[in-house]
Amino acid sequence: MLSASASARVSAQQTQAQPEAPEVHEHVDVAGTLLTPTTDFSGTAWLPKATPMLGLHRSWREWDLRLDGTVFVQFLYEPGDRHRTGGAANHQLVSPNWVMAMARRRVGAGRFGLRTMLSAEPWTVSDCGALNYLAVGEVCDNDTIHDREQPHDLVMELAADYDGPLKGEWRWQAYAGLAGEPAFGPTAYPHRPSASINPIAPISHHWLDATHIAFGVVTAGVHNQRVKAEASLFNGRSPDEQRTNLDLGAFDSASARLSVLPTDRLSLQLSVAHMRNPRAMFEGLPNAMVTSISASGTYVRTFGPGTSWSSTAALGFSTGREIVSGIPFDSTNGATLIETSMTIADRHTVFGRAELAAIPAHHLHAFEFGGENLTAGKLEGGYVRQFSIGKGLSPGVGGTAGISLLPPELAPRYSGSVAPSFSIFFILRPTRHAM
Amino acid sequence: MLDMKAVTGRVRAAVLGCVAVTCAACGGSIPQAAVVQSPTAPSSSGYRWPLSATVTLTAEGPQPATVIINVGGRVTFVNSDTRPHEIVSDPYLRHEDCPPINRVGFLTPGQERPSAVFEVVKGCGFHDHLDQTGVFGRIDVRIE
Repeated sequence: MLSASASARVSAQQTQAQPEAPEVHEHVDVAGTLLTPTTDFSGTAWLPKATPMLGLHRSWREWDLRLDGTVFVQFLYEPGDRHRTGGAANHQLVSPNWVMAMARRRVGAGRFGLRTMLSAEPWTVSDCGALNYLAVGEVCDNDTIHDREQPHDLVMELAADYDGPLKGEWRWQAYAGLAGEPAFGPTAYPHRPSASINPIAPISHHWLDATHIAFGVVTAGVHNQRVKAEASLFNGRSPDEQRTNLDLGAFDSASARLSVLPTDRLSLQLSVAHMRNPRAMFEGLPNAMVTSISASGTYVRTFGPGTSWSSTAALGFSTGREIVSGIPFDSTNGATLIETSMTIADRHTVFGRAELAAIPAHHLHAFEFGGENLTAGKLEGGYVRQFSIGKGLSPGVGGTAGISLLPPELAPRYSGSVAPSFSIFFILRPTRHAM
Repeated sequence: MLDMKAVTGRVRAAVLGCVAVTCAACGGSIPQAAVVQSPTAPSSSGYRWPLSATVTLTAEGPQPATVIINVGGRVTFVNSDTRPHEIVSDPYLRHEDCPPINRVGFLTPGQERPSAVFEVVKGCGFHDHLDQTGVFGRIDVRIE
């Protein structure tokens, strides 16, 4: 521990000696790797090293403990007469929320970690999900969910990891979980600094990072400080509508991801997944394999304490078996996303997002278009004002406004080719912590 | 795979037709799916049952609520109501019984759209996904 502290001090001195370097929160260093690196937020995905770290951070005996989370209480309003899964109401009160606990300690020459992520959304997000025009994915009430973002499961992550030395600067890493995230896609949106303060889920979620809750996953990889190559075996089925259990299944899906940190401010990833029956609607359809490809980059820049700018660009495609009205066919579809968030002095945050998606028509319950993809877009922006109440917590209030841009085929269903969305919300989450 | 389904449907319809004709000739029992009733007049297509029919959606419900067409035919839905309707196959939510109905889909007031071709002898229930308790009806697909 003394050597670890010394290493941390050396790290801090190096940071002070380079005023141009981005603000990086160094933690306890063990044998060349940090116990809680700023790159680690979601599964084994990497964020830039310059990512501001939120949460409560304590040491307890040999353990390095971290607690993070976000609670929103949000009123949503999407005017129009759109019929959607879970009912046709155009307003809704929901509370998207999650809490993550991580404990790491030295074991042998490396580090061992336990991590869990929980959500109360099974009880706080009703009616099959939060109103969200064009969002699709998973099932509820024996129907595929459309125009809502489904609630997350109670157990989003229950996993352990180990990171040990390999040769030179190279290390090996193993990650296993009853619930966890395979090596696919960018860091999941609740953890991305460009998205985490926005309570609205991206419509591209199910092409980019929907695998962030897999019930059964093992991942192995090698990495140095800048490059990581990893592969996973996992249960590829998305969670079912019973949100409080573990939907364990066979490890019949696989993925691989290459992550690169060209600078402390930038993270890049390219990943591919080959998944069996990822959508519950494939029930009874054998060999429903879907191949997904994702590429993304996240950029983070800090401008002094409490002021940072983060942006993410991502692209995802899926190809495989779809089923319309009981008839299977092959489909290729995808989505792209650009999102950004700027926080000033830990008080004011403005954020925005632009998305374009080629959505299978039947995912939006537009069965008359058979197996066609319909291209739609979404633009969204918002503002949050946060306050400091001490004790490591920062409440805030904010709002969002967005428009969904609909093709002629869908416009009648949404009362026009431009469908607006609004929300106001309260947020409570930990403050940024400086080590 | 769609083509395979279509081929399967045609083969099934042909087999059922042959069975119906054969059984009628020998005086045996006729399979339930191929039971036919005598129409009041032969259709212009030469088939006993018409190859097309129209269902008008009104505030009072579909008119008529039940239509009979021949295998290979379509049904056109016309929305004469003042509100939209979304016509899909039973059962509610899964819509898998008769996929050709799902091609009708969402109809704004005044809009009309035909179903896909019915290729299987079957009784097909349909409903309005926007108000499944208010609009429902049946399409009997028969063969001659």
